[in-house]
Amino acid sequence: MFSSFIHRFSSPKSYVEITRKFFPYISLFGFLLLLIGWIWGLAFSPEDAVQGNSYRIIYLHVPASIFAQLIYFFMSICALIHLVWRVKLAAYLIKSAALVGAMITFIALFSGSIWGIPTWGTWWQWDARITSTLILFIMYLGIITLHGSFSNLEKADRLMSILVVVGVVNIPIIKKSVDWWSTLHQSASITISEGASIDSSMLYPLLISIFGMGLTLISLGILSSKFYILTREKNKKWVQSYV
Amino acid sequence: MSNLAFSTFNDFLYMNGHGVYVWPVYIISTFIILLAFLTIYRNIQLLRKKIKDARG
Amino acid sequence: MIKIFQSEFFKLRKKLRTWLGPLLIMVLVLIAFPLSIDISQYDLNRFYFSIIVVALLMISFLSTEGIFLEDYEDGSLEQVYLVEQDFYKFVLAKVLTFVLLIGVPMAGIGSVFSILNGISINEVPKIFFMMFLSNLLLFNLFAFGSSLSINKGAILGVLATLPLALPIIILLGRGVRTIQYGIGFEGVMALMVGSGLLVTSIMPLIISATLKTHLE
Repeated sequence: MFSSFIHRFSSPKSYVEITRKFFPYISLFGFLLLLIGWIWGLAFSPEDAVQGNSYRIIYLHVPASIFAQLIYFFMSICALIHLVWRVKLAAYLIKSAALVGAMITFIALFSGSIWGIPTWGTWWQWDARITSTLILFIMYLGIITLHGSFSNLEKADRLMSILVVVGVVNIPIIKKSVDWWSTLHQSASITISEGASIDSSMLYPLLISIFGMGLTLISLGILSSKFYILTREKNKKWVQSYV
Repeated sequence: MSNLAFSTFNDFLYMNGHGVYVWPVYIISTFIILLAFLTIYRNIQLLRKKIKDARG
Repeated sequence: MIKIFQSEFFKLRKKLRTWLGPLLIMVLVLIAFPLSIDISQYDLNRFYFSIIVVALLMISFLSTEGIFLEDYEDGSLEQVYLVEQDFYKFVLAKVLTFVLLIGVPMAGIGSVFSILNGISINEVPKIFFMMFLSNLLLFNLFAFGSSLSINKGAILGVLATLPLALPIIILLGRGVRTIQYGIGFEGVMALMVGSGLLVTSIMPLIISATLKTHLE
């Protein structure tokens, strides 16, 4: 019953039609939330006692770091769905999400490096968290490269899915690296079990930025997946009538 | 939220010397995200045109 | 299973270039490093183990580069699939053969060079065992990489799987520090033994699924 549910709602055609309706609202709401979060954080939040105003990069860096990992986690779920139920849409979503994931991981690395200069006096440190994020970025590139190397796209989808599932072991290592190894990186500002370790005047814009970034990346993912689906399915009748 | 952290716009840009780190990060990252949106949107439009032309 | 292992062992033993070549390259790299750097013996002893670790990583990748290529090209893989309907035993036997013929000597060479650069001879069994377990993990991982890019060249497989190898390197480095400081070795060793057993049992399944994809 579950597999018939998966197959019914996982056709690329249904996906494109459903997302077309929601895309304008998701993207606008995402941009708005991101703008509010950033303006609040940049202009209204007080200066940090230790880091001064350089801490304001947190409203970009932390959402980027969170979603760098979450996107890979999403890809691993899609990979499992593709491998188990052979759902084509899941493979299309992996490919689209990999591009978005690579972009946001780059932004996380770049923003973190710049933040490191006034905070630690260095733009790079071989500590666990930064190195793991760099590894994650290379993994995204590896997945994109692997898929692009095969002319048989169905084979490429399966191999990519296998690689994503194997690579997901790196995500808990990134998550726990701050706890497992002694490191220069500050520990998590927000945890599920212990709540936030930063003041509410900084926390609220951070949460808004995180939600805004999430919706923005979802809208980017929808756009990217739409392009990829139309490319892969361009010879199908539904695409001909859709355009 | 009601109290501005900076008294003037120049202070807001300067951020006690940290503006040189904060602003490039936000500007470049926003540029990357917007570029991604625009590139994909443009590619979709090109693909639609290509499919329509192929259909005749 | 024993028969498959024996046949793979004898096949690999005959291909001198495949197993002896990487070992000689490892020796060359470990000799070249001290020659290329002008530092005191004390400093060399502090950094030398990093070179051994990186050499292990490189040689593991080099050794497993075409592990399945010949069988794919000459049709042996298809034959195995037709007979067994599964590649598990075949992959396990192949990887274990590589570990025995290449991984164990690599661990030996690494141990010898670590003695030459300051590690006490009493610590050699620990160093050897740790390197052997790292090789077991690395060979499994790079065999997976080779299976992904079976006829597309080694670089693709490396790009795909090298990031996954780095946690193994971190673990190996931590293990060496525990030996040097004399505390916590048992914990790291337990982690490596557990990882080694887990990866050796699961990775052939994953490689098997990958090879099946290539044959479909």
